[in-house]
Amino acid sequence: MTNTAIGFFCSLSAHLLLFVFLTVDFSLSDNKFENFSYIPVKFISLPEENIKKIKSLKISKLKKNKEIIQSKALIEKNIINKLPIELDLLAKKILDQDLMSIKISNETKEVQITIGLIQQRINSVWKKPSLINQDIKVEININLAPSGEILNFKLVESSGNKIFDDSALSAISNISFLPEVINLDIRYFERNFRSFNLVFKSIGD
Amino acid sequence: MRLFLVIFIIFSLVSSAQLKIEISKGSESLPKIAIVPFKSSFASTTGDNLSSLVESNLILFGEFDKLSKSEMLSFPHSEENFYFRDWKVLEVDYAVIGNLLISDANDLVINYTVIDIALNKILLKGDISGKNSDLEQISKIISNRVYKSITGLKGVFNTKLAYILNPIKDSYMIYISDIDGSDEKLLFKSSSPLMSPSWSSDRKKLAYVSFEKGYPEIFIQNLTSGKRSYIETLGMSNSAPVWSPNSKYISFVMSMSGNPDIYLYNLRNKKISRLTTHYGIDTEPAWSPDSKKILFTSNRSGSPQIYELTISSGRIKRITLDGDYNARARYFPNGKDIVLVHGNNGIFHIATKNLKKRFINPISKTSLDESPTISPNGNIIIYATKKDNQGFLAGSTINGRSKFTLPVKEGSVREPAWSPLLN
Repeated sequence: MTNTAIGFFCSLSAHLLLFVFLTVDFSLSDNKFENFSYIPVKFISLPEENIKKIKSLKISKLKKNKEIIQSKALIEKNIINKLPIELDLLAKKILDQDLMSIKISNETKEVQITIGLIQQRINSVWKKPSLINQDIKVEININLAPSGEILNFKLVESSGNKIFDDSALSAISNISFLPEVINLDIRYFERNFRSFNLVFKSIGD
Repeated sequence: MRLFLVIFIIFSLVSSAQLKIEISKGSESLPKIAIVPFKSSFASTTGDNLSSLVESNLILFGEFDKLSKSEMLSFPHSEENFYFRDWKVLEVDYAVIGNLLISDANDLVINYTVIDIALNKILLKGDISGKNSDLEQISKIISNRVYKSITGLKGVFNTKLAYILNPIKDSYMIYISDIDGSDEKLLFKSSSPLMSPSWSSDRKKLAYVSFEKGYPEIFIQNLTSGKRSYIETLGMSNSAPVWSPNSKYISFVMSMSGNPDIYLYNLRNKKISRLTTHYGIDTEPAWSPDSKKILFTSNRSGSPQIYELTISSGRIKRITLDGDYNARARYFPNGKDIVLVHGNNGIFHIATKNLKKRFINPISKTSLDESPTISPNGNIIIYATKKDNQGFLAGSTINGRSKFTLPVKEGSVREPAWSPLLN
């Protein structure tokens, strides 16, 4: 009986803690982005214009989901009323609202921009070996100083292909600095780039 | 229990904190190699000649950029006087150094080392001996080993190419040459069309189609003696011969009562057996590396598509589903991927496809490309293409990053066939 109670209490506190960790926005985790539909949070390199766009976004605290639901209801209502032209305008408006209402913290924004720049730099030096339709990846951990200096790096997960692993290690060896992090707020740096992993994938452009 | 809780919380903290950045595109630039002139221990230019040969081999298919001699800051020939800094500053990825000695038997003894500049390590230390007169052959062996140490793939610098040349109307020739185009030899000449050269796995024979009797017929020619024989089919037209990798069979196409089907010719007992019996056209067979399956083109669905036949069971499986034209397929050495001619709306590209995936991946940019042949290491494809009505041979690495064309000959060059590797 007491065991069950302890178990219940532990599980409750664990879940509460987890909930707190996952909801409070102090770190960058993949699953947090899944709720956002329009911001380019997938790890792709950001073109200049997108960066500007993100910078110009107002950080609003609108309750996104509620608004979307309301907007959807509006669309449905209009479909019934058959107002195609206005519907188009409405859809655009909703899209804009949606974009604006995304709760995007300054940190997330800065981190995303930095990720894009780092991707560009690494891509420019990585000489990817020729492989036929082979889907493999290698993961390398990097320790960075706030000055952008690569302090050390190590293989975390091998691809199983030595040539592929070496190509990724060579790419990192060929750059000793990632100056992209220099202008970052030191807190953002510590939370995200002090230690991070690069995942080199054989498939995808 | 509290411990578990703490570990659990720490774990969830750590896993959500670790940032992962994906890299998948890679650079457009090629790996840069520096072949440092080899040092001869005697007064001669042999070392220099040898390293130049190795260099021209390695850059043959456009897989590497080279650092020219005039750009080098030093000419080290041993590890002691090799300074990584000198090469890193020139953005070199790999360096090859070497030296030549003369043995008591008056043979050349060559020591060579392949160095990975970025990772500060030696990839290969090798040596080889041989006669001064065999310098070209020696350079190919060294090039193969250097290539393997860098790419992990077998080198193909000592392979050969067979192809059909059609310089003027009513003049057809079959040539074989080294893969770099040197040592070209005329194998057969005819005023009637010649087609479809195919190598035996020991590289001693070539099968091809000749129209010299007025209809297509398969001939097998011995490359050393020049002697020719043909497959006895009682006067029925037969074409598209392909030698099985285990050297036991030739699969080919024969038209009994006008309908082409795939047949098997047993080289030992000279018996012919039938593999497909469909009323549609079945043609262009190709062997799997294990000699157990055959790819072929068939219009049984209405348009040309690729099918795979398992010989032991007779089971036939359709491989291509997309596009209105898929033909002339060949297996990659891994047996899991194929190269084919993929056509849509009148434009034909060379493309690759995994047997288990639907996606077709075009690799050539030109149109009117035909008859792709794969290097024995699976990394390079040579195909026939056309520009200004002139047929010539072009090639590409399978990642599409390096493109090259082979020297243009007088008249149209067609149907390249890459020889197997010699074991």
